[in-house]
Amino acid sequence: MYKLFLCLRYLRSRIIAYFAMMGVALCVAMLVIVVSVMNGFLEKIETAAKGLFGDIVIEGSGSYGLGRYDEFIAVLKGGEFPLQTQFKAASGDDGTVVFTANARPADMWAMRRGSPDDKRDRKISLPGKATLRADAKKLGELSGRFELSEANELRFLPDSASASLVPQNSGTGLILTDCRVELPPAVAQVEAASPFIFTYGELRIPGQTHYRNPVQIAGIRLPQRAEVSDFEDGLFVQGEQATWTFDPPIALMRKRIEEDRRNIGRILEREIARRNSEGAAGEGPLPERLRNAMYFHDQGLLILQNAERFQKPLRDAVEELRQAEKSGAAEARKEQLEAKLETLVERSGLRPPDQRVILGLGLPGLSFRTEKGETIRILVPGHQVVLYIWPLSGSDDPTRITPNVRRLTIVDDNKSGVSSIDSRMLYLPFDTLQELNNMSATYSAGTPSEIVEPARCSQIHLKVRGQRIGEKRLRKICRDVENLWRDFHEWFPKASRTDVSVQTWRQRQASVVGPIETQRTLVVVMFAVISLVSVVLIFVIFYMIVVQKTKDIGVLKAIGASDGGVAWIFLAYGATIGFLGAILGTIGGILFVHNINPIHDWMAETIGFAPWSRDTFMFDEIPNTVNPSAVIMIVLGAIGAGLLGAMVPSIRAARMQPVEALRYE
Amino acid sequence: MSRPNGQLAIDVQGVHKSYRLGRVTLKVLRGVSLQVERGRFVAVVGASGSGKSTLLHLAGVLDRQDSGTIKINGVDMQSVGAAGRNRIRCRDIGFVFQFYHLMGELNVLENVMLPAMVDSSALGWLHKRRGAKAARARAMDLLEKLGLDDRLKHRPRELSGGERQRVAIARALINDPDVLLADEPTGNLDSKTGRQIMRLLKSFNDAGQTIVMVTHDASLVKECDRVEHLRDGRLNA
Ligand SMILES: Nc1ncnc2c1ncn2[C@@H]1O[C@H](COP(=O)(O)OP(=O)(O)O)[C@@H](O)[C@H]1O
Ligand SMILES: [Mg+2]
Repeated sequence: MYKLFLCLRYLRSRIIAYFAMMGVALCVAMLVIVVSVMNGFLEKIETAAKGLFGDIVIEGSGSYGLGRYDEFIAVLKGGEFPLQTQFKAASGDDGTVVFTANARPADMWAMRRGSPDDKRDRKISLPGKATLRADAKKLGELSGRFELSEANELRFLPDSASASLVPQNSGTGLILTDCRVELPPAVAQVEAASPFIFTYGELRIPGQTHYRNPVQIAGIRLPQRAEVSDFEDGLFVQGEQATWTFDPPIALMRKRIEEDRRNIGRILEREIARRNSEGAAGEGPLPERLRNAMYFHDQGLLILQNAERFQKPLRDAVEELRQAEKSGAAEARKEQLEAKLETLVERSGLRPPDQRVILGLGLPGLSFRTEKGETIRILVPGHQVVLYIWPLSGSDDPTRITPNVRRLTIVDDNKSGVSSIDSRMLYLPFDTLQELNNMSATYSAGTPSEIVEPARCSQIHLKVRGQRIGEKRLRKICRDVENLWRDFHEWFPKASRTDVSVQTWRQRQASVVGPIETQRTLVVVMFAVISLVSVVLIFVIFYMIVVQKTKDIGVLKAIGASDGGVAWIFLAYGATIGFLGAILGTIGGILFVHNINPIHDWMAETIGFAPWSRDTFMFDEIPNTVNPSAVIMIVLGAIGAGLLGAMVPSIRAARMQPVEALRYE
Repeated sequence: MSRPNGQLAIDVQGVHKSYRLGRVTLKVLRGVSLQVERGRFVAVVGASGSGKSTLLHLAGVLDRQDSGTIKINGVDMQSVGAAGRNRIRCRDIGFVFQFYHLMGELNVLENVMLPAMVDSSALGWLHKRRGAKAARARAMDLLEKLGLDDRLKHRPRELSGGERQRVAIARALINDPDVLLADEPTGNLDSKTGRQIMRLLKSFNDAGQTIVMVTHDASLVKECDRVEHLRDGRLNA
């Protein structure tokens, strides 16, 4: 009891205790702030990089790219693999129907990958499904097993339940289409994979002859893109949707643009009020720019309004054309319908869904930032841009490259938060960019069914199962994927021209992440040293406190206090100072971190000192998330330091003879 | 104070104590023997530096002798462990120091109650009748006897020397010890206040309290039952 009582009394009546506490608090606050900002920064880079590339990137060197990506992805991920072969039926020896086909390389490879334990010289058998047809008439779905013989002949053996669907003795007219074989994943950890095309081009705006801007162009598949990256989170129009497309509902686009326009209106009013209160003459440049942006919003809205009226006629025209093609109408009739569709598209003011673009929010000239950091869109969805692409791939004459040009309708914009990406990148439908970048399949002139070069992508992005996977595990998966590609490449020499590289997002971002990680280590070491100094300081303070209390210790012992009791008083004293200091420091640090952006703005405004530059640090805002586990570590460290600082003097105090302590001058 | 008089409260037999200061060994006590019966008021007189405090510290279990035996209530201190020594310091002995040694962070009442608190467990202290309340009642009683009942909330630094020493006496008596050891209790006070302290000690002795007091001032000892002289590391009457 006396221990607690004295401990509290000492805490209450010693100013030096408050100093020690403040010291601890300052150290803790400093560490919380620095670690939070550094960690937040790294985490932002991580999510931004992963948001773009996923966890792992497969890339072919050179501009040729990667072919047969869909087949590769299907085998990589496992699940249903579509066989490319059609099976024909023949009567077997015993009158039963037998389905056979000659396996194509992709099928052979998939079958062999699907049963890696089997030797190549043995028969392979995998479960699967197929659709049974008789002269284009669908008879039913069969399930059974696919077999690959040593002679690379494929057979389908329906299981007993399915076998009854096969009409006996009517053999030859039957075919199997849509054959899917069930494959185990080749690399089990891969959750999703998506092809990606990356190239460069020039952006122009119709009617604005001076606007020519070099851009980076990404070809992506929506909505599958969302499975490997966080691309969808930053979308202006479709950010809150459950699925994402290059053809979002027009009503949704209008709604977002109207909201955006109202928001600009508010900023305009605020700006005018501010200038009035400052008594500035004239309107200044910002209101004019805001009005210009609002004008473009209105234009966009008008285009979308117009397009809305054409939606039904367009749907009807598409349907009509499909019917005509199906029923085998005359060429002239089809041409007439096509022409009609084209006029409708032209009059609707929106390009068809394959000629759409999602802009990066930050492309120069298409949006701007106010001093307060708000982003003002100028070119909103509905407007059109023109894209020039000089294909890097597939040109026969290397001295002459002709650009592919496309007029595209903006349907959305994306903000990844990384300014170097947002100010340069725009996103096109995968197939469109594949065509524009000359990456589509080319066929032999003689036999049009023979592929000379398969359709290609620049990269394949992978998402690995689970969250926050360690670099070591990712590297291991990279090696597995690379081995798989090597094997794949043996069967498909045209899938890539040279070796492919398989890298983790961290390896790809090494030039950015590396220095920051070194910097973080450096800063942590620096602050560890400073913290060590503060531990020594606390130690000195405690030592002094205990020395000052030597007489009290003598008295305590003379009246019967035990050594342990005396030590307890001073240890508890140190722990309390450490704990309270840590709590204070944590609260202070967290408050600071949470308000770091306003504080930064305020500093920039009042003393003109702004250490965070958007260009060098890539992000608009200073990271302001606090990592709870880091805070817990810091708090424990502080309490530990308090205890450690108190330990030596308390033990010394405890071990003194009472007379010694009493004699102390 | 129900213990029978005549039994030895303190029995010091042939105690030696020396201090080693570098190469020199200072032999302070050279075979001191002192018997104090219950209920007595014994004074030890000696010149400054003669080893009075040393002797009293040994008798109060605040230090260890080099040789010889010290018995308190018949128990040899050599045979008692650390916890036992703590208990004896706490319950059986009350010590009054020349320089009071009160705790500056505590007020008068808290200073007096502190040994009672040390003696009790946390649960015991919170006990309705036996805990803090009882200790408080005893402290108030003692402080009243010492004429300090109006200074309970004062800090030691707000008191005069005599008042401080009275608080120290109250603190020494709070656990109702067998022996009160007083090391020059008047040494730091003017003679008038010194005599007042002596009268107070005498009154406690009259009520049955065994007291051993050391002093260099022979003029103070007329109230004592017995006076011993400490000279050359030995006692003689
Ligand atoms: N811890 C110690 N270390 C060294 N010398 C001491 C110590 N304590 C006391 N002495 C010496 O022992 C002698 C006796 O001291 P003390 O018992 O305090 O005398 P008194 O109380 O009679 O004045 C003195 O000369 C003193 O200097
Ligand atoms: Mg002395």
